Formats: sequence, structure tokens, C-alpha cells
Amino acid sequence: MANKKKSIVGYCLIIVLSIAVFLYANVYRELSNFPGDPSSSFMPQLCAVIMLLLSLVMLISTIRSKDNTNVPPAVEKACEVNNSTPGRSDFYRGMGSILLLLFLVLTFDVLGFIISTIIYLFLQQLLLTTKGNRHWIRTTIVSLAVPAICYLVFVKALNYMLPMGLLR
Amino acid sequence: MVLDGILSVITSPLCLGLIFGGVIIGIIFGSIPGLSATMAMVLFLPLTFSLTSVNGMALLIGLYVGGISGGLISAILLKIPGTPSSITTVFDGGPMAERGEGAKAIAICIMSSFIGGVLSLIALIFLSPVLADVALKFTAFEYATIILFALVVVGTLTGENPILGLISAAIGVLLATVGTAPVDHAVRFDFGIKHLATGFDVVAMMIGFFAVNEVLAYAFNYTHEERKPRVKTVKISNYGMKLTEWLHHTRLIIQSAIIGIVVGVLPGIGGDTAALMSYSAAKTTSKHPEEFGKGCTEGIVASEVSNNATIGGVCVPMLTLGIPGSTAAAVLMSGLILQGVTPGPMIFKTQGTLVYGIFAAMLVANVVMVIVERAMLPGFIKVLTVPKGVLFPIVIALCAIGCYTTNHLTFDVICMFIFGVIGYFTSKFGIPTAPALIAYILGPLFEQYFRTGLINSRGDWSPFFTSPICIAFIILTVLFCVIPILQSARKKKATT
Repeated sequence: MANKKKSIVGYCLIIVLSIAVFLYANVYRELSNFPGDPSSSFMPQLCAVIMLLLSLVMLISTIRSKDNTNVPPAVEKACEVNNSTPGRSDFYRGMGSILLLLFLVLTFDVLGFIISTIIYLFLQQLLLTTKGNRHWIRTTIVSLAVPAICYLVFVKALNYMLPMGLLR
Repeated sequence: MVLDGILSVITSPLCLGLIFGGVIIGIIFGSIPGLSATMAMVLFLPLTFSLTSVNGMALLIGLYVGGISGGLISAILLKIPGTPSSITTVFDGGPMAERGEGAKAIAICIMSSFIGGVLSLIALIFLSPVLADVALKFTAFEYATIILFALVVVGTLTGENPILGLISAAIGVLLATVGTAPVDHAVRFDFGIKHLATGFDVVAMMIGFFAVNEVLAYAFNYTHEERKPRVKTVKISNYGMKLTEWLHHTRLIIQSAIIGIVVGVLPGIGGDTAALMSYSAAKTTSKHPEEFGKGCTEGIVASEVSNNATIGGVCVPMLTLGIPGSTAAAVLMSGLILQGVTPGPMIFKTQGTLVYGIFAAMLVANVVMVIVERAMLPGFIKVLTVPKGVLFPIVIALCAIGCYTTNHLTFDVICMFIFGVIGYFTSKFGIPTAPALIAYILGPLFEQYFRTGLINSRGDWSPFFTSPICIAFIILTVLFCVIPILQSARKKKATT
């Protein structure tokens, strides 16, 4: 999808979100009993109106602009970077990182922070190095040492309660 | 009384040792994203019960000073602010580290933190009663307009496109409306999820927007990042700049310190707003505003001087009025109350020795902070030599643990992930995340003061347009909103 189209879709999404928030926030209009209080619906509705107006300004100027002249610099930069990458390996690396993060947060309580952190650290380090540059021993040591040090510092020294999961 | 107070600190090896230990622990807490100066103080608060009042307060002050300045380390080296007060340090500290000037940036920040801390201490000693009076004159209307000004500044000055920055700030305020509303305590946008009734945790949002976002950006642009030539770290001497260069920044330092002290005195506003206001003031008054955000020394000096200057400012209402202006000040006040000391207007007369002991402890803590951080600088810089493929997973693991320890909720760790993913994709789209985060912190304050003001005036909006302070800040808000937008439009026209 061209950069301009991506921007238009993004602004449209913000506009839809603003309208949804504005309408939904009406629920809180009647809750306040204080005279003069603009009620709890005021702030979300004010934000929604500001987001709506600013997104409309950006949408109109993007539609009126030629090619990519009104595309945010960060989008252009991202596209430049994407053009310089060979194949889709970086995309898979990024998506893999998202999945690993998701694994970490979802298993943090169930497996406990030690096990989930060991698995996350090991796989994430492998994902962020290319085949020829992998140091298996270093990766293993880091994966085991970091949770162990965290356990000693946070649980033993500072008395913080961290989820132990299967090791409880 | 003054001499007794000072001697009670500097002649006691135990007291000096407690300050030293407190500063080191504070720096560690401040430099790890997710842990904060307040958490360190809360953790060590029970320990103060077994100490004398001067020693107990000295330990807490050491933790506070170390914790606030420790945030600059991760802000510069990892582009992840250790505390919300260090968000603006990322803007210029991060780019400096990228071009091999990480050591210089940290050294400048250490010295700036020291200068800010000492100037605020001087203000605390000599101007406490005057500053406390100023704080009392501010009504809800004045607070609301100051926060509105800060919200607009954060939106228009931190991004490449001011409109996108303002959209980000509006999203931040909108996210802050999730949970219990101020004034009527209506629970908004919780969708039946019980954890949402208290809103999102700011630490989870900060870590998500900065740490997770940074790691994802590295993973998605891996080939490009790995092709970047390794930048050699520039060696530095002393404190980053020569004395003449420091003297060249005198006006900026004084300006930033004044902003930090005044904002610190106002209850609830905090170091993040002070750093932001002084950053924007530095950019506005600079001869090279275009260099801000690209690794400009003026940016980090302004940010660090002002966020450390709030330390003294925060103590003014706490000691003289018994009003804790921040959570850290509330913990300090708890420490005083635990010792049987009641803060208030009479504290200088009834507990003069203790008060001047606290001032002396603040000065010693600032000196210790400079010595310790300068000595640890070569060690900090070694972080930059660790391959990012190893460093980033470790940072994420520490962030997840730090995030969990804030409220002991896995929900916060999940929020960290969600905000990280949202932050990455919105940044890619050109919407900066820093305005959303600062607006998230300021949004509830604005709503509270705005609604309280209108309730007090029974719905009458006229105080916004009759109070001189309100008028001044409304004019500044309009100017800071319109001028950057016009400048950006003119720039775009010139390039097409």
C-alpha cells in the first residue's frame, strides 16, 4: 500500500475512534451531582473532539497533497529502511519478537517469572542474532544468570513478591 | 540551631554512610526502568523508624536524590527513561549516545543534576516562606491553565509535526480517563475488567512506549541496524564541558532552575512537567532551536537542571505547610511523622536543628551523587559495548519484573506489552509516543483542577479570564499551539 494510502487509513481510524469515544462517553454525563461540574463525560469528549478535528486537518491535507509530500517523516523513514532490507527476514524477526513478548507476559504468572524469563531470554537472543554470529554458551549463560540474579536481588534481598509459578 | 543541624550531619559517620548508601541504592533504582526513587524510599521507610530523626531523613533524602538523578543513565544509554522526570533527557541524550557521545551526555547530566539540586537547596533555605505563600495563592483555575499549557507544549515541541504531537497528547489524556474519574469517582471505560477501574499504570505505559517500542524497532529493522557502522565512544574529561562552556550556559541553568523550583513548589505538578517546561523554554530562547532533539547539550542541561531543582521545591510546601506535593514528598513526610515531627509553619522554630540537618543532608547527598555517578561513568558506558541482541532481551526481562513489582499485577505486564506494540506502530506512522505518556500523567491533574475550579465557581468560567496568571498562561498556550503549526506549514511549503 502506498504511503499516502497508509496515512489516510490511519487518520480515518483515529476519526472513527474519536466518534466512538464521543458517543460512548455520553453514559457518564448524568453521574455528577455537583452544581457547575461539567461531569465525567467532559474530558473524554473534549479529547475526542480534539482528536477528530486534528485528524480531519491531517486527512484533508494528506488527500490534497501530491504523492508523499504530507506523509509524516517517520513513515517515509520507515519505508526507506524497509526498502534497504533484503527479503522479509526482518519482518519475521519483528513478528517473532512480538510473539515472544506475548509468551513472556502470558506465562509470567503461570510458569513463574524464572521459567518464563529463561525461555524468553534464550529465544529472543537467538532471534536477534544471525546464524553465523550465534554464541550458544553466552546465550545460555545470560538466559540462566539474569533470572537467577533477579531472584536473589528482588525476592531474597528486597523481599518483593514475584510470581514463582511451577517453582512454588 | 543552623550550625547544630549542619554538624549533626557532617560530623556523624553513620549519617554520612546512610547518605552514601542511600544515593547508591537510589541511583540503581532510578536507572532500572520500572523501579523509582519513591519505591526505594517506601522500601527503606520502615528502617528509618530505628534511626534518629536526622539519620532517618538523611537516608530517605539520599535515596530520593540518587533515584531522581539515576533516571538519566538509562534515558541516555538505552533511550528508556528510568523515571518520568527523565523523559525529556531522552530527546537529546539518546541521539548524543548514538553518535558516540554517551559519556559526555551522562557527564553533563550529572553536573546539571548537581547544579539543579544545589540551586533548589539555596532556594529552599532562603525563600521557603515566600515560595510557600506563592503556592497558596494558586487556585484550581491557575493550576488548570498551567497544566493545559504543559499539555500543549508537550504536543507541539516533541514531534516533527506539531499536529501529530497534539493528537498524541490527546490520546494520552484520553487513556488517562480510563478508570475512576476525579471529583465524582465515576468509573469510566472499564468494560467490566476490574483492573481497569484504577486505570493503566504509568510505569507499564512508560516501559511499553519506550523499552518495548525500542526493542521492536530494532527487531523490525534488524538488517539496517546491524549495517550501521559502530560508533566509537568519545573520551571525555571532567564533567563533559569545559568551565567556559558551563559559564556560557549560565542563563539557561538559572532559567531552568527557577522553572524547576517554582513547578516543584506547586503541589502535584512534579519533575516531569518542570523538565518539559524548561526544555521548551530552552528551545524557545535558544539561538539554535533546530538542533533540539538531535543531540543538543542545551536540551539535556535544561532537562536535568530543572528536574533536580524540583527536589528542593517539593520540600517547600512539605516542610512549611505540611502539604506533600508528590508521592516522594509524601514518603519523606511519612518519615518525619514516624519520628514524631509534624511539618507546618512552626517547624523552623520547633524543629530547627532537624530542618537544617535535612538541608545539610540534601547538600551532602548532591555532592555524593556527583562523585558516585562520575566514578561509575566508565562502567555505565560499557553498556553501549554489549551487543543489542543480548542487551535488549535483558532490558525487557528487567522491565517486566520492574513493571510487576509496582502493583504486583500481571495485568500491568500485559499492559506493558500492549502499549509497546501500539507505541511501535504509532511511531512508525509518525505519531510520537512521548507526548502521550506525559499527557497521561498530566491529564488527570488537569481534569481534577478544571472540574474543582468550576464546582467552586458554580460553573462560572470567568476566573479563567480574570486571573492574571490564568490570562498569561492562556496566551502562552495559544502562542505555543499556533506558532509551531504555522512554522511547520511554512517549512513544508518551502520544501515542496
